[in-house]
Amino acid sequence: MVNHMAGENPFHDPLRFERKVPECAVVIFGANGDLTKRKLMPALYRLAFERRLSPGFAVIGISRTPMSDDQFREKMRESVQKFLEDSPFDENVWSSFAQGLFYMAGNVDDAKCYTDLKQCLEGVEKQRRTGGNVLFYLSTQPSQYGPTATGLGVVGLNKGDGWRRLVVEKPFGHDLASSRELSTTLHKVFVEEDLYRIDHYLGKETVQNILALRFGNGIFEPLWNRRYISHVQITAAESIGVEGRGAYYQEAGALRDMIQNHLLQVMATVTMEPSASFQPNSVRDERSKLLRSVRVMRPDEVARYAVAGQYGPARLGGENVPGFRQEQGVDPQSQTDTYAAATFFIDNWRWAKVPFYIRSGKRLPKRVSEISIQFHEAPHAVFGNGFAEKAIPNLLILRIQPEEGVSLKFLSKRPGTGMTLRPVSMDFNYGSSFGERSPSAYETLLLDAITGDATLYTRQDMVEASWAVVEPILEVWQTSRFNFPNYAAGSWGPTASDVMLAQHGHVWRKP
Amino acid sequence: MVRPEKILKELSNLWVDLGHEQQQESDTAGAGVLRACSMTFVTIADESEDPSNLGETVAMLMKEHPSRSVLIRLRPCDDQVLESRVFAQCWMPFGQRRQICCEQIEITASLASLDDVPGVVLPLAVADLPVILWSRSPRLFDMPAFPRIAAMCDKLILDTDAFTSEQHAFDLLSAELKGERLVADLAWSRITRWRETVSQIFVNEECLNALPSLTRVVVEYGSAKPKPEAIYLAAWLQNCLSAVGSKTHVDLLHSEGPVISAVTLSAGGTCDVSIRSAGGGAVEVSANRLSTKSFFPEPSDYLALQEELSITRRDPAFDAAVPVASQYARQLQ
Repeated sequence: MVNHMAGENPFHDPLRFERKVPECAVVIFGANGDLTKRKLMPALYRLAFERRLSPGFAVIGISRTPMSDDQFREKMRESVQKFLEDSPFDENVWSSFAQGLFYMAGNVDDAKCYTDLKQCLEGVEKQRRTGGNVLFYLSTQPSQYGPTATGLGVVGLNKGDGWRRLVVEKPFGHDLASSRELSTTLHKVFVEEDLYRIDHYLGKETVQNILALRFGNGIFEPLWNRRYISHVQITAAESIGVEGRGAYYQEAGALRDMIQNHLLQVMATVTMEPSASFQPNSVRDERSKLLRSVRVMRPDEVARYAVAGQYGPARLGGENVPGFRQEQGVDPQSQTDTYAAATFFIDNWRWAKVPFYIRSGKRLPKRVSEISIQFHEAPHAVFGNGFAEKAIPNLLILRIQPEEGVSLKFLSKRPGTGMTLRPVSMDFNYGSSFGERSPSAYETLLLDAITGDATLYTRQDMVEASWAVVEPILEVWQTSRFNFPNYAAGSWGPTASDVMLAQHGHVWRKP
Repeated sequence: MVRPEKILKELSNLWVDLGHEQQQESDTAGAGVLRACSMTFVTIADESEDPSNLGETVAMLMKEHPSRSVLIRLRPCDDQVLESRVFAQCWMPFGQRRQICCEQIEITASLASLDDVPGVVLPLAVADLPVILWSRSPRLFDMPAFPRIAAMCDKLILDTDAFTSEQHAFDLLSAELKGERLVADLAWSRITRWRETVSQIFVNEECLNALPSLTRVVVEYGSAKPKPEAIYLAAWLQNCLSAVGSKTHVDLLHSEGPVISAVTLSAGGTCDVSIRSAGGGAVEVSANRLSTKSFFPEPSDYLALQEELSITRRDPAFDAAVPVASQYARQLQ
């Protein structure tokens, strides 16, 4: 007999059932936007397809466009059919799921929007029995985060019979001061525990798998330090340009758009100390501690340890590709970095003096995100010179996308009578080793927010620590005049980036 | 005569051949064959079973549970027959340039040679990885060679649906559960979606609080007599209710429909729950006057095995359900 505590669901079977998902309403601000269509709604549908949602589940979409519930449902159906990845669209599942979709036209700058929402939520709660639990999702312009949270607070929607949580998309401010200002505004309405700052990179299976690889196995952790690791390269390359987001991107740039959030979080995941447990705050404490250990550059060090780049026009695959300054909505004299690379050092015992090279850019040769951990070479060349063509260190590659997986490169004897070594690769491919479909980052993160698991969400202290790391670079770059463009579309970035590594005797890996 | 060393040698040659083939077909450096293995998966089936169906199930499982697969086909004759062949099951993941391959060994054994099977299979098990035995043939359990064959495995999977007597099947399971070995029943795996749906409804506090007030709980079955799935569901519900101190008895009732056609839990209005099969995999879920539709995937050996192969420890809910199911089966006789 399996005994249960009073108040516990005796039917729950953690061995076989997925997580218990409480009934709730998800309120999406910006329901007519790209993120809702491409990511949020397909993710919610997929959770419904997997029977992960409670019967008492509802979605209320809000945007300015007037629409009926049925029109909204039809629009979302088209989006789900179009953007659903690796999954079939099931008419029956959709019609059941769509019954829980509602729409409300409203302007987030207008106080009436919130009184209307309150009324709408009460109706939906009665109809769908959502238990008073509400997840507010801000999929709007960042400038509307503060006013929307305040509006929710004014009508008392931040509190209720059930839980109330607020999900905020990046960017969390555009510098340290604005990030603190945003946080102060949000904290007036929601306590930190109810704020979910989404960084979709942390929801990716392979990023989570880094934790499994490091802390689920005994063989890696003893090597995971300055004694065995020479340096680490973290790359997030995109082959596409700004694709119509020129105006937004011009204000952001690669350092703000990728490194300040996603890649520093990835670096923290790779380098943090083991947490005592897998409880949300335990893991986040370690990530935060690590981010606070990253050495902040002095202004005079920026030129040596950081490189900005911007792509120029090129001919790729038989067609002319515009440079960034030729993209729609971009200032022809723009000083925005479409490529950023930086060398970071972590000032703690484990990582002292180990360089962490991080780069991200647009219009690079291929779309790839990976972490390459390069180990020190063997201390003594037993086989003498000439047996290996050149010194080839061991590499552990953690691929985030595409073809998520782990590869270990090492030397092996070439078959034959001689003693010639050649590098070989031992691959673990996440997708093909487990034929099961991996959930999308948004599926994982939405489910986490609904179930109240903030492990993969960033906390204000982590956001502030990341801004503190990149802000000196941003400040120097803002007062600099770059000779852009400095790399051709389709290349691996500016030469200065190679020079940055060469000063430590290292070279960028070409993924 | 089958010699394990010969089979292993053939397997080794197979990998070399696959590697050569792939290199000749691909101009791209770095392409090749990726060998994947997470267990030794032994299947025992009667030779009369359609090998293509069985092969398809095993092949589908390979993608999620790459294994060295050993298929033992039982030939109902008194001659001494023990034959083997080896081959590889390969697939090319979409958009990738490297094949993933798993090893498959097929052994045909007559009933008279069954005693020799463990001696052949044991050396073929991949070191350091679990051995899972899926026995599709109920008669294997009554054979003198069974204990030796079962001793090879870390987990034994059977299907009580294949037994002619539910009582016999549950007794056998009860005996197996007393040992150290992990035991699973595909009939139990097939009710996971039903159990999960019940559980999901009781996430709602109003329903949870109404549990002690339940007055009637019924599992409806469509077959002439309740199949193990319906019996398990009733047994599991009974255990869950007992765990919260409820004295309500779970009844099994015949009605029209599939193996399980409905589950109803009535609390006299405070929380009335009904989960009713609506055909084509659809299930009407009604709780507290809110109705929704859910969809259960078509039950198959593949889905049930996929679930069982993911479980590598004892299943307390299953362990507790077996003796209660056995009582139900006894009462129904």
